[in-house]
Amino acid sequence: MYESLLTYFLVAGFLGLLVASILSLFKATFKSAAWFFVLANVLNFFAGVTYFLTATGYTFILVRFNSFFNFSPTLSGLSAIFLTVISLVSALVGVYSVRYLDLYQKTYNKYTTQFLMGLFVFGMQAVLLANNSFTFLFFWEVMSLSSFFLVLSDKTKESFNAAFLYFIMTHLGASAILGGFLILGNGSLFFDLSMIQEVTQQLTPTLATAAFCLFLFGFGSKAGLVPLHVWLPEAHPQAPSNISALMSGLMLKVAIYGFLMVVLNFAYMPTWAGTLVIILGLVSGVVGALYAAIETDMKKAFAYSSIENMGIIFSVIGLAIYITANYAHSNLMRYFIPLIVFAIIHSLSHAFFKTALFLSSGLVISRVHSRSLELMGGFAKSLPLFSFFFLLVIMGSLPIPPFGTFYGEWGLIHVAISLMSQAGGMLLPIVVLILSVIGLIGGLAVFAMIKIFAISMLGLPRYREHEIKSELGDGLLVWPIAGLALGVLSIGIFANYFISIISNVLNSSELITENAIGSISSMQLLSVVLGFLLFAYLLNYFFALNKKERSYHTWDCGQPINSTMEYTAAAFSAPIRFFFLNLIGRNKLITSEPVVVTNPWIRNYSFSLLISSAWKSSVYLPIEKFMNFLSLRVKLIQSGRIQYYLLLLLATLIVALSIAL
Amino acid sequence: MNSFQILATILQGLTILLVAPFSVGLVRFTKARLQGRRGASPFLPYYTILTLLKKEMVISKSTSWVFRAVPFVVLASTIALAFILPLVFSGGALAFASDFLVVAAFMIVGSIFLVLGGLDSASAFGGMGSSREMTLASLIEPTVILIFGALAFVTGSFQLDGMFAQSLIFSAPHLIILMIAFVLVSLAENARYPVDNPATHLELTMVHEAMILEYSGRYLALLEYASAIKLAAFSILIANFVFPPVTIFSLSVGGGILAILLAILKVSMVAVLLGWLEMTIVKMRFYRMPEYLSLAFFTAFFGMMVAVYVKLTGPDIKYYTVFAAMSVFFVVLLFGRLRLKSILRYYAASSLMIAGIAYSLALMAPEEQTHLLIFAVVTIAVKVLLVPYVIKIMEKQQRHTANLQSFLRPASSYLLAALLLVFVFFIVQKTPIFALVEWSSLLFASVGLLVLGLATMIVHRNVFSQIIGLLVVENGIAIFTLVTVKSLPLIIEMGVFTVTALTALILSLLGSRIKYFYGSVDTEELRNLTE
Amino acid sequence: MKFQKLVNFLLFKPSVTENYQSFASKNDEDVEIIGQEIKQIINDLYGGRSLRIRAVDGGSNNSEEIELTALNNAYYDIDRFGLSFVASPRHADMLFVTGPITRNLETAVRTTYEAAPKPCIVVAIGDGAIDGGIWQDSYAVVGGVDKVIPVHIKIPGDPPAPAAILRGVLEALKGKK
Repeated sequence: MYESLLTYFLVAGFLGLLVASILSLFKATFKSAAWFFVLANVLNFFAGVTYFLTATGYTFILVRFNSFFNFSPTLSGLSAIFLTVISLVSALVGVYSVRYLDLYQKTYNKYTTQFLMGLFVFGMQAVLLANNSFTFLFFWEVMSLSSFFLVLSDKTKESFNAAFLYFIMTHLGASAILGGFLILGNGSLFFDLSMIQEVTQQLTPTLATAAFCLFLFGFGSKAGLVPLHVWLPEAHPQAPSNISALMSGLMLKVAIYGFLMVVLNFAYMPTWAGTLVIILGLVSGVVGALYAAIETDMKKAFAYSSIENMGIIFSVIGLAIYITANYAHSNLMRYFIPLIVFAIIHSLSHAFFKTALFLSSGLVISRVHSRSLELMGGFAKSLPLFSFFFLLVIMGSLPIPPFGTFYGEWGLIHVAISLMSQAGGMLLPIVVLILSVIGLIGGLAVFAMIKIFAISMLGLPRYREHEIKSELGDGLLVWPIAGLALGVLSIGIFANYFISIISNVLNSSELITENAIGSISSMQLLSVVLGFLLFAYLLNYFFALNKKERSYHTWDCGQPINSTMEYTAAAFSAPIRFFFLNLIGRNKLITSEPVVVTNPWIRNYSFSLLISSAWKSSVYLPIEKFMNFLSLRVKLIQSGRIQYYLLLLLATLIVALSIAL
Repeated sequence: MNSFQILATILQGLTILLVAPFSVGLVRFTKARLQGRRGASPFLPYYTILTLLKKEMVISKSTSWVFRAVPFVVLASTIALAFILPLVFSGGALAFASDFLVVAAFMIVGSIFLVLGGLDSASAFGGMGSSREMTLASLIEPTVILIFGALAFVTGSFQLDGMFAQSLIFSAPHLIILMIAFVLVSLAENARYPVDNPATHLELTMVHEAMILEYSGRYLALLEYASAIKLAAFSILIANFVFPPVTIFSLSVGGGILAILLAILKVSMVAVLLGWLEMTIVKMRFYRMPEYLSLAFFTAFFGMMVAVYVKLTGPDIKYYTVFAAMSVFFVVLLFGRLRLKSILRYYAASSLMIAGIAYSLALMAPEEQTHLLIFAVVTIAVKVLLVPYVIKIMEKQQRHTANLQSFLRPASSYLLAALLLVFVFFIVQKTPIFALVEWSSLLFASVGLLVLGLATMIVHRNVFSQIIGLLVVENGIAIFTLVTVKSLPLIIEMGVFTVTALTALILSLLGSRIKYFYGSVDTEELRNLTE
Repeated sequence: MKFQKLVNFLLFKPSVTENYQSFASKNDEDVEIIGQEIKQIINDLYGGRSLRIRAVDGGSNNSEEIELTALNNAYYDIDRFGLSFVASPRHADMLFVTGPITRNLETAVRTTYEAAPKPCIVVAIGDGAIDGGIWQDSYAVVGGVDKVIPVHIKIPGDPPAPAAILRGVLEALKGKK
């Protein structure tokens, strides 16, 4: 019964997505198409839920198209988890977009934007159903290209630059993935994804290593791992906010899905792979959190925070890889599945809170008309309900119980310490490294997130021309954010259930959380938190001997103060900039010129602070120089004479034939 | 969870809540007495809080709902600490929530909301305090994780409740390094010296006070009460490193009362010590905080490395291991210092620890006893007293060398030292000599001192620090001789000591002469002389 | 050791702080305590066991400020009476206003009073603060503090000695006058 239901839901959902995107191109059907998009996503969500209601851990094959590139949509445990979350979050983003695209009719063409969004979401969800390398890459490209055009939506010069960078990086990544699949499929484009395990057992170590590195490069560049991250803080903020939310919240999860699919099934992995992934993850975490802490562009800061979270997820996966690569037959393997589960839990929470954060930034930006934090402020008074949910989401993005994000890092640290007491040798320095860096990442993330919330929501508006508009007309913008906040909260509250469901789905025979790493009851923890809040409230209620209140302006030392004297985002992060001076390329410039030429003492001073990306200048620019140099050499072939090209053609033919024969 | 546990938890919470203002008052009282003042009664904070409860509130017009939520969340987070942590009793009803990451999260939630409250009033003072508090709270996080991670690793329990079930210091003396790190963390968390001055009136130097400048009346009472509870909870937790809390299983009524009295005694003890500490040190400039924070981090890191080492070599920890660890630790402190006075102090402390090694070896090897004891006594005489004294005298003739130059800033020096030590740790483990030597911890210490001494000579660009670097290298060799050739003829050892003293004398005399002739002891400037 | 010496000194020798009685008995100044309101305030605030003071400069020549600073030192030690200076009027139970109120600082004094939560005791310190002192007819000066905000205690002197300030405040707290 469930299986037929699942089939109906999936077929209806995916067809619905396609139909919704096409209908949104026409003026008459646009409105209904937007809601149809939401409905289709809800259907896919139901499909995911139905999958979990059936006996879990099996592979569900929707239908077999033998003629159509051997495409038979397949839902496995791993992809079902991601499908459920991606469709649920997309549905909420769909609701948000209805109002958001109305607000931005002048900037964005709402028909094409909605159309591309439909395709984008379709691509992301279809990647999860892919059963062979060709369909996987096809839908991967649908996802990449539609998001590429979405980055271009506002047609400004910055968008073109960002989109171009994105285009290059994502295609480098896609070609790496293609290369990996070609190695696995022995040159065949139609490599069956369920065969990874069997194939890697037979591959030579060199080839398997090469394939692994290609996959790491491909999925890592999509996920924004340092040093492949430069496109992410450029492209994500440049898109419309609902698209940024989809890109940062969901597209990165597709990259994680791809990498997990490889990691879970690869039979051979080089011994250093785990160390490499852990170090990449930790470096991404520190770089992402550091730049998020000092960034004053709201959306860019969120994008950097995505890099940080991807870093954490990759270091969790890296530890798992380390275990399978080095201790495959020891009892340490019982930590393998828990680590993967915590990586997934963290990605799911990230899907919820990062989407919500970008949606919130969209609402704020619609009032300020700028992404700069320096112009925001004071929204907690004009948008009280929204600011409450925003605070919930901000807290949800930090390792704080009872939010879902807490359990990801909790799991990592617990497993790390358990490993420490059971393993010796080379595992020890890695665990010590993880422990000492993960705290730094967490601390900096707290700094970054709290800075963004406090500067944008609290105090007085820093810019007088804010639209002091209440949130009542924008319910469609606020409620999706509330829903997502609830999502990250419920992952935390029901963490124990989610952990057991996911580990069941991953075919884990043992009850992992109880045995291996001790447990914590998320529900009890919630009641403790609420209990103490109530206690503090009651303490105030009973001991308040004087309940009089008076309103007066902020203490100003006798001279009136205004919003220009508030602390700014750049000032707030000044200590962090100073403390990490060695890691940040910073350019401080004070210039002065006299007001009147004859009097050198009275001068106009101007101060500018430029934070340049150290990666760009020390990694990317040399590569660019080298490529330019190379292309100049290659250009020598370009003589411009048609006979010459024909000669080249002939030469190629001869070489190809001589190799083939 | 039985009713007995619930009762114990409630009793503990109420004890902390009642005793909290007293702890703040006692710190102030001790401080006043040590300053020669009579000071206010230690019970004054109770009246302060009651007075505040009787006053009206003035709320700034620029604030929002966040401003009103702050006192409750901050108070709730600290009350949670009072109930959850194993302070008076261990094994209470809420012990399951004392997982160290949960505790760290509660601590940071308190900081976060204070920060929000500081920024909501739109005043520059609040913003400044918030920025600083957030920086401190976020950068102290790695240290907290390392300390409790190491404790979890040693005790095998992720809950603070399990960690503090036994006396950590008595069962594993090397954990004292982690305790020092925890004291550093507590000072930062509670906004005490040298991180913050709780009694300042100057907004520009404030951290914690600046954030609550806008609060008045009962909200202020809640916030001050919250910080008092935090201080009391941390005081007891520090004391619990040495004297563990009473486990509630096997507990009678009399025992319960005794436990509460013990807790009050612990609070008083730590409060008096804190008052004394605040009398003897000064507040650090905020922009020197990287130094403090990296010191705290390094201490925790070092503690963890020692814990790992002890775990690797076996369960029975010997006193000479602790001494060896401490001698390396002091040299690391020396490595990051710029002032000759403190460099000499740490050198002397490190040498004292070497004397301690000789002493504890003497207890273990009766046939070598007199020999080793003489070694210890001469070490104290020459290296702890004579050499620092000689260098100090020589340096005194040239006044302007109080602040010595270095190529690295303190924070990066500590990082470099940590990296070097980790490197040494894994290199020495791989060498064949490791298996041959009986006391491997001493081998680590000797190679560590050698490397750090060399590094001191490289990194510091001053003649005096380079002399001390040389002496540290010599210390490393001294430990090596203790390990390998125990029965070196006494006459040779005495010769070595004489040479050491003479080296110090001659080199510092030379340094002093150089200063006299060329006006500088900076090696970078002295290089110009060759051209 | 220095610390040992210090402990010896503190435990076995008299501390630096002078006994209150030694300067409380002299009664050469006349502290003026105005109105019954202050008794009510003090009763409300637990007999003034713990009061926090915010000092406001209303245009003084800083002579009063020097005397106020002296209250914090080890000799007078204002802490032992539960009085302490704080950094914000929001925390204050008591305002020390000094100097003749100049026209430029009139707003500052008024906003400080408004910013302090009630009940709040206002103490005018020095002749200038009581009636303008030697500047009272200047065009730049408003006059005494009571022309701007209500005053509860007036402590005369130009400037009053720290002992006189302490005496004035403490007598008001005890309600003796």
